[in-house]
Parts: sequence; C-alpha cells; structure tokens
Amino acid sequence: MGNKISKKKQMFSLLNYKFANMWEESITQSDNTPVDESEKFSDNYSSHLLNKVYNFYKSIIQNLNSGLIALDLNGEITFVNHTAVHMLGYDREELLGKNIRDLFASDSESRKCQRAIFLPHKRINDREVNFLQQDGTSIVVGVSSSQIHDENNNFDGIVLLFRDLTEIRHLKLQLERMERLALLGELSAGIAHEIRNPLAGIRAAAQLLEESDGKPEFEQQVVERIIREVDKANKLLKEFFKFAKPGKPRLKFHDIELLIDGVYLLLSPQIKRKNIEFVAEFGEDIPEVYVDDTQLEQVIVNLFLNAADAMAGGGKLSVKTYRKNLNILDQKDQRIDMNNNQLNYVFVEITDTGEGIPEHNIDKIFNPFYTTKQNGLGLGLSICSRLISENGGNIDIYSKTGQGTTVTIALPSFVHS
Amino acid sequence: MSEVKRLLIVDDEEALTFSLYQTFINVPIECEVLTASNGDEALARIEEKRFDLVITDIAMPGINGLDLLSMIKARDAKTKVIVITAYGSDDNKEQAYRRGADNYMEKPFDLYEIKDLVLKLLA
Repeated sequence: MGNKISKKKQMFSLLNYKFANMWEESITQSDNTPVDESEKFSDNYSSHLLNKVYNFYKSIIQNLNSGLIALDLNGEITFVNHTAVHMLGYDREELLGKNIRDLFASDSESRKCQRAIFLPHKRINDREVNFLQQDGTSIVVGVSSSQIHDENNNFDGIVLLFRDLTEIRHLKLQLERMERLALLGELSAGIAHEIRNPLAGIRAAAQLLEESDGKPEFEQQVVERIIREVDKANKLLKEFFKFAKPGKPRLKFHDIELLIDGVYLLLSPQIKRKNIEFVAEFGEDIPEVYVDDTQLEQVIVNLFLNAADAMAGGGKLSVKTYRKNLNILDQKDQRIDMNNNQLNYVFVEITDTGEGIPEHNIDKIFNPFYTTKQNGLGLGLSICSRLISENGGNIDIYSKTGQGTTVTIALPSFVHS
Repeated sequence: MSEVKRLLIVDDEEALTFSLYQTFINVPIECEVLTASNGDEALARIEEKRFDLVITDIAMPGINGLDLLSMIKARDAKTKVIVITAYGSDDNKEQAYRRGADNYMEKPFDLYEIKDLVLKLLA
C-alpha cells in the first residue's frame, strides 16, 4: 500500500510540474481558502486531479476539428471522437468495434491504405481517400496516420486523423474546370493565330495570281508560296495533335544512358558544327527507367536542339543523371502496382551555357504556341512537358539570363525493396 | 515630279510579305517598298531612314508590332501605320488605336482592300 501511495505521489508530482495552474486550482477550495498541505496527496485530491487532467485531454480530443479514430492491431475501432462520429453519421456505439476496412468506399483503396498504415514505422500524410457515411454516401477525406506504442515500445495500435475534403475537392474541381477553359481559350487563340497567318499568305498570293499578267515564271513563284503555306499549316496541325493527343506511352524498362547516347549520336554533327562541347556525367547504379523510349528520345532531341539554339556562338552542353528516392512527385501514379517494388525517380539534368531565359518568360515557357524563335511554332516544350507527364515523370526548368538554362526531368523507375 | 513614297512591310509570314511587296511595287504612285521579317529588323530600317507608311504584324519574335508602332509614332508621328494581325482580339485592336495606329486589319484580309487603304493614306 505504502509503495502504491509513493508511486501516486511521484505521478502527481510530475503532473504538478506539467500542469501547475491546474494544481493551483485543485488545491484551492471553492471559498478560495487554500487546502491544507497534508491533504494535497490524499486519494480524494489525486482522483480529483486525475479527473481534471482526463477531462482536459478529453475536451481537446473531442473538440478537434478533425475526426480522430484509434484502431487496434486488427483494425478494429477502439475510440472515436465527436467530430468523427458527426462526419461519418454513425452512432458512437456503431463505430466502436467496427473494422476500419468497412469505412472505405472501395476495397482497393482500403487495401492500399491499410498496407501503408499497418507496416511498422510507416505512416500516411493527408492521403485522399473516400469514406462511407452511415447512409452509404461517400465523403472525401484527407487521412494522416500515426502509430501508438505501449510502454515497452511495442507497436500497439494506430491513430487516424482525418478532415472532410468534400468542399475543398469541389472547389478544386471548379478551379480545374476554369483552368481547362482558360487553357482552351489560350489554345484556340494560338491555333487561330497559327492558321490565320498562312491563310493570309495564301489569300494574298491567290489574289496576286488573279491580277497577274500571265508571266509563267512569276506565277510559278506565287504557286510555290501557296503550297509552302498549306504545308506549313498542315505541319502545325500535326505538331499540335502530338501535343493534344500524344500516343499512349508503351512503358518498358530502358537504360537511360543508352537513350541519351543514342540521341547524342544522332545530333552530334549539328552540335559539333555549332562549336558546342558535349559533356555527359552518368551517375552510378542508375536503375532502368520505366518509360516509352521513343517518346523520351523525342523529348531529349527537343531539349538538345533547344540548348544548341540557345548557344549560337558555341558553348557547353552537359548531361547529368542521378537518382533520388522521392515518392512525392506523383502520388496519383497508380498505373502500375509492382509488388514490393518501390517507386523511385531517375533525374536527367540537361544544362547549356547559352543566353538563358528572362525571368518574366519562365512561366510561359511550357505554354503551347509560346516561342521566341523566328520560325518556331512554340510547341516543342509543351509537347515535352505533355510527354513526360504521360510517362509519369516531371519536367522543370531553371534559367539565368546570360548564364544558361538547366532542364531537369524526373523519370519513374522501380527498385526492388 | 512627285515625291517617292517609302513603304515598309513587317511580317514573319514570307508569302504575305512577298504578295504585299509585289502589290505595292506596282501601284500607280512612285513607291519604294522594303520588307522586314521581325520587329528588330524593322527598327533597324526605321533608324536608317524615314518611312511614309509601315504595315506591321503584331506577334513577331523580338520587338512586337505594338511596341514597334509606339516607337515609330514617337520617332515621327506623321508616319502612317497599319497594324495587321492574326490575333483578332478587341484588346489588340484597342491597344493599336490607343498607340496611334491609322488602321487595323485582321488576317486574312483582302489584298485590294489594303491596297486602296495604303493609296488613300499615302495620298
């Protein structure tokens, strides 16, 4: 008994240290007269204080504006807060003992999520999933998980914290729709411009023919120009369709070094002619990338030619590859689900020492029909960006006027874990 | 003997500059016609000599047609400028007139119409 009291005293001393204000309150009677020192550690006050601390924590947890659910290792719900009960539309008693898998709107989502939260030392952060409410309607929530450990540091359960994203997703969809419309407007204006230009040339040339006094040589010159303009308009449309509807990528594992070397071999006469030095620095242990080789080659050709165009007076074109374990790039990338193979990214950096891109133009660089070249269509980089995204990767650009430009491509690869 | 009029056509669309050039070298007034395929080249020509009339596109690499228009008018307000564009937007039209354009035409336009307009402006 004596031992028990001494433990209690230790515990209360600790609580006293942490919750000094509460302690002060607890040792003051309702008429504001201080409690006798000898009563401070009596059982009555101990339980009074415990109650106070318990209620304090309880009120924090119950009034969180996120839903909170605790699970045991079987996935059964052992605790729910008010917000979770309210968001899911169940009675508290209906939820307690229910298995978490029954809250998911889809089995595959449930499996993926459970796999992620029950693996030791794993957690999820703000993952978007669909939960089923009691009446069967589904709500989008952002879930984060953390693991609970017992006093011996054994994995003992899971805490899920989730917030309702329905409204946010609704706004996001609205925004995406608006962005799509804006892009559509921009695209239409771009196409209209690129088609009207050759049309203007064709119309004027045809009217010139109409007025011509029948000199065959002159008429031939005009007709040639008309044909050139028609071909130009057709080329533009072909290129545009590559952007608007690229072929479905045929994904396979490829050695990135071989792909880059292949492109260099193809372009080396042009690169050398422009007095450009080519330097490749391939990282060690670079895994194969999971891409469509033809599409990736098209992107690299485009980027090499852009770099060469930016170095009219010669310079250095460097290519560097390295790998990074990044899962943040494309969380939605679920095209393939390779067992135990972890998504990695291989990075390809293409750097030139050319004129660089002014800061105010960087944001427009991937826009279709944006060009600074005399005879450019402005589709090269937008096609690159579209192809890389179709292949599950990411493309980024960094540039400094007068110093050069670096384009970084992240390509998916899978490493057996 | 009447004064030789000087005309500059600025556009990166070769078939159009060719047709305009051929049209204006054959007009019934004495006319020197020059062409430029972008804004920078046009500016260099304007800095070299005075033009009576400039026909300029808007969207071009380097200096765009609207900025070129402002530069021409700042240099010599008497130089007539016709802005031609494949971007048929109200904003472009408003900007062109605000910067002092004498006319604004959307592509594709009628060759006879621009010919009449040029003759009228040069008269």
